[in-house]
Amino acid sequence: MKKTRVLIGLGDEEEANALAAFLYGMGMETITAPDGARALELAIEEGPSFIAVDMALPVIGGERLFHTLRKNPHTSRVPFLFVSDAPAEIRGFRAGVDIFLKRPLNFDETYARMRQSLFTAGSEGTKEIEGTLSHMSLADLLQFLHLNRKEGELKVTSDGRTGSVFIKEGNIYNALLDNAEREKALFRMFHWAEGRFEFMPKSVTAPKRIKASTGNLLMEGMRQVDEFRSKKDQLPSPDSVVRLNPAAGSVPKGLQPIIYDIVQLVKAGARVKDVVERSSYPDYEVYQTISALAAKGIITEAEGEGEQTGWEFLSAAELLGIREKISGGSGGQGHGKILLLSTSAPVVAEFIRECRGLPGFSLNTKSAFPELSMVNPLGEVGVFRLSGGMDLSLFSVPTVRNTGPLWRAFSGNLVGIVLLIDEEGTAQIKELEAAKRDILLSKRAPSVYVVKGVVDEGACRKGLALSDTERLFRLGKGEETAAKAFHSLFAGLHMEEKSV
Amino acid sequence: MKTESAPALAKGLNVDRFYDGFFLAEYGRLEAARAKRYSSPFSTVLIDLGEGATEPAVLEGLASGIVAATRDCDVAGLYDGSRVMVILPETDYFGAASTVRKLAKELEGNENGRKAVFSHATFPRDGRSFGELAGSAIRKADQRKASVWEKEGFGGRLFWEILGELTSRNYKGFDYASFDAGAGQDISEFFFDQVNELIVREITREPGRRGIMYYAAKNLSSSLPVVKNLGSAGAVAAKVFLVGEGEGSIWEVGNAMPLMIDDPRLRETFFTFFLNDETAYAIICKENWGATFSCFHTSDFGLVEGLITKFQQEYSLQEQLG
Repeated sequence: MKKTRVLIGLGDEEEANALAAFLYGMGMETITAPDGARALELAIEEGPSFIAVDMALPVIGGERLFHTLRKNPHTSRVPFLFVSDAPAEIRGFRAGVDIFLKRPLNFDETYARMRQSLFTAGSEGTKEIEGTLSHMSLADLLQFLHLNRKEGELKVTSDGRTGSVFIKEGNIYNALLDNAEREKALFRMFHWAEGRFEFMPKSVTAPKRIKASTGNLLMEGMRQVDEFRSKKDQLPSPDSVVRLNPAAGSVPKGLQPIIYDIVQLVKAGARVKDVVERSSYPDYEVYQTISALAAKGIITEAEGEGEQTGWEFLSAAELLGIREKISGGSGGQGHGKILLLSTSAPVVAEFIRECRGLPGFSLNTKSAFPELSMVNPLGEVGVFRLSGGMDLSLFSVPTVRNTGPLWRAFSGNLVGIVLLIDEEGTAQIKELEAAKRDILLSKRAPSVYVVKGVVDEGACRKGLALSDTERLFRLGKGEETAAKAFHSLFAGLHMEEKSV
Repeated sequence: MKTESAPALAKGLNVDRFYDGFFLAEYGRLEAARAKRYSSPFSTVLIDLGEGATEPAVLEGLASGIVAATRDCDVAGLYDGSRVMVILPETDYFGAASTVRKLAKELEGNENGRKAVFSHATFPRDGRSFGELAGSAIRKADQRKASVWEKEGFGGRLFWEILGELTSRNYKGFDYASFDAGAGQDISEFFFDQVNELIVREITREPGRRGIMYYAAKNLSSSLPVVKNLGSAGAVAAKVFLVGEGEGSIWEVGNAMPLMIDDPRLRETFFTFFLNDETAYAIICKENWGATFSCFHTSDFGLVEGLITKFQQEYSLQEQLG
């Protein structure tokens, strides 16, 4: 493999030599220039892969050299490392590619930054094959790479989504797409008929996650794609809700692992598309298994019980309030957060169950606690996709005292707080309220209270120091409690705005 | 210029570009109006000198140092008897944080300067008027004075000494807390990984937001969930450093820079420091016998900033906060 050649132009000769020696020790070739004029000459003659310059380089300064070489087509893509005694603004600085370091230099960090920059620049500049999927399908492309025993990363983009396939000696080592990997990710990409691809040769160090041979993998993948298309009408609808049938009893032992995986996921009372998303098995296999389990009566399918569409959940004023709250905070980019503070995990699960009836809500498949069975739930449990490209995530944080630092740490872009109380947790009301107070010390946000089960309302109100005008919402009464609680919360946003 | 600004100079102090409270408040008010009009950031730095620095001679020495460490466009002056404020036009949170570092370094040689407590506030995250920003900076200075960093005098101690202290004590607050994790404990040994994954998700959710994260673990590998999540995300503005010993593939992870530090202490203590303009969080876990861990975590900005600074200084890393 060609060695990385670095041109070093630092005013201080001792520093330049020390950096050159260090980089040489790390396997890089180095050339040094005492001033900007010589650096310019060497940059054109030698074609370095990286240029490290002093901002105060004699004859031609670092920034001037950068601008000159950026205009030359042979050197325009070369990443720059700027070294200076003080922070400076550099016109045309390419974030992620160029580096700015203040003296004193730490060589380990300098080397790490250069490696990363070369990696970024390399991924943009060394495409060996590129084209469109309409001209060459992914399966054909993989076969071609297999026959030529290629090594590198194949990036496939379609409809704004990008997936990667890692290939070594022509064999498929792994595939990544969003949160999916291995066969699941690869087979999803097989569905793409339109899009672009680019293959970048590079050494693949990732472990082999796909065990099947390339030939078998391609045949199996194409079979699943064909069958999925032809049997689409016979498979369960993605939006229908599946539940375990209590009358069916327990699932016998010794069946295929995918069956136990699906049963576990269905236990949470999920929509079909959530089960498909969360299972690590390829989509078609999951649909087929759900279908087979439904046919055997182990699970029941309730068509259209899931996501409701066609009715407005939030009014225009509420959406505007949320948008203002998000953009009013520092750096919010269409993403807000509602913190869930609860006395137990089951009450969170119950609240989420109600939320699933609301339009635009989806259970977060990347959730840090997929089973919702922990004592102290922590992580994102769901997201509302609101109109105008806004996301509102429901984020649960534990309220036991020694988790206090998490409250503020994860309350960025806070829109509101929902406090969830169940009858077993009435003794923890004070902790819950203390957590809320602590969060609101540094943030302004409205809050609502939701109770579940037999909770003494008077004692609860006293414990939470609620005024008569503040409502306690009750879960499990079939009155769209979650929706009402959210409306109340967002009305609080409006009030907050007025008071400002 | 000197003639024009002379009446506004702080009374009795013979220091150029160092103004009195009235001028400072007026300038701050105009700067806030300008920031609102053009939607640009500006920051204030508050230096609480304490009671010992109210003597004109002492104050004069400190004021000279402050003026020398700031830019020509910055406006420094006496906020009240013992507090100095510097107005930094067109400066965001990170710029203010690096000014604080610069000022602290400048005043290090002065006995009263060493005792000074620094805080900063930025428009619009901490307030939309000069009064709100000043109030926010004062509140932060008070919090800083009450923080573990100041109380325990961590500023004068070594990085690993501080980590040892934090993991051996029992903290029970909202800002600082200790807990045991691992076998037989309420909190699982995976808590550390879980929190790190959530931090990475916060980073990737807002890719344009600047910040810094140091993730130190026993063995760095590209198969770690934190590393995988970072690698599969698009480009992020936050700087993420992976600290420790690791395999070759770690060099090819996107959005993260490995810092190969061969230090035996990193094999039994792992930590994460995360800081951006809205969030500060640090978690430190020390491995004990029998797969249990003594952990400490905090959301105190002062402590997290202090830990990051110490770590950078003692391992000669780039001084940066985002």
